[in-house]
Amino acid sequence: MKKFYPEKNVSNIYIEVSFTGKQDREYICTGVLIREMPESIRVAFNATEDHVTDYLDIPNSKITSIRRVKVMQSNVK
Amino acid sequence: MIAKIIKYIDSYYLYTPTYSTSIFRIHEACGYVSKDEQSVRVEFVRQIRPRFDGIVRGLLIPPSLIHKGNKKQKKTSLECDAKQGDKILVKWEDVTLVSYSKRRKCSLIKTVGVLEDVDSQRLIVSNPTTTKRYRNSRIEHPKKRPTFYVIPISVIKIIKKMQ
Repeated sequence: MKKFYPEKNVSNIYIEVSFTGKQDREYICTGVLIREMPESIRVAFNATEDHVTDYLDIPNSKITSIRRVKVMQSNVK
Repeated sequence: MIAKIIKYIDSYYLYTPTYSTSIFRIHEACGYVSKDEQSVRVEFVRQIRPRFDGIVRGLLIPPSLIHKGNKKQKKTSLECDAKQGDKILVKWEDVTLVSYSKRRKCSLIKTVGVLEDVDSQRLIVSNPTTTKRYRNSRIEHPKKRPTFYVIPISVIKIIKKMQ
């Protein structure tokens, strides 16, 4: 995936985020951290060349854990 | 449960008066990847409590669209007697965005238009009307009719010359 964030970083930052939603449901996702805003973060899941086509904004208040992860290329053929 | 990156190609449409024979653009998705005979499933978001066995948010990709690195995509020939300029009906599988769903099959898309060009990798249909099933009815995709639809040969299930 094209390098999105932060500009000075050598490569993308992949993160795994656990968060809660409606009715206290618990979710997990992994993607590229593309933006940090005062009250939320934006995680990208899908991109076409330099254009992000799917992302999720997660409010900081809903995040239960966040960690940086290494993501490998899938060997699905 | 380890997330992975997966690269794939996809069909596309154009609103330009001409088309180029450029290669398919590479899409890149990150998620929890699994595969069966019907699709490659990429979960972007997984619900862990209470456990949900379907996809909360993710993609179903036809296996033949997975990008094979420097190797060329599998070549496929079409069994159809249609020639350039003939009106055709094409049924093909598309990459499908899913939300809170247990489905495993990609959407089956129907395109009717004029056979503009075909090679070992793609079929180009001009003046296409493309429909997909959505909640028990068929809707046009996209809503504004494009000038060309470029469909990877490998996802075509049926192609018929129309009278």
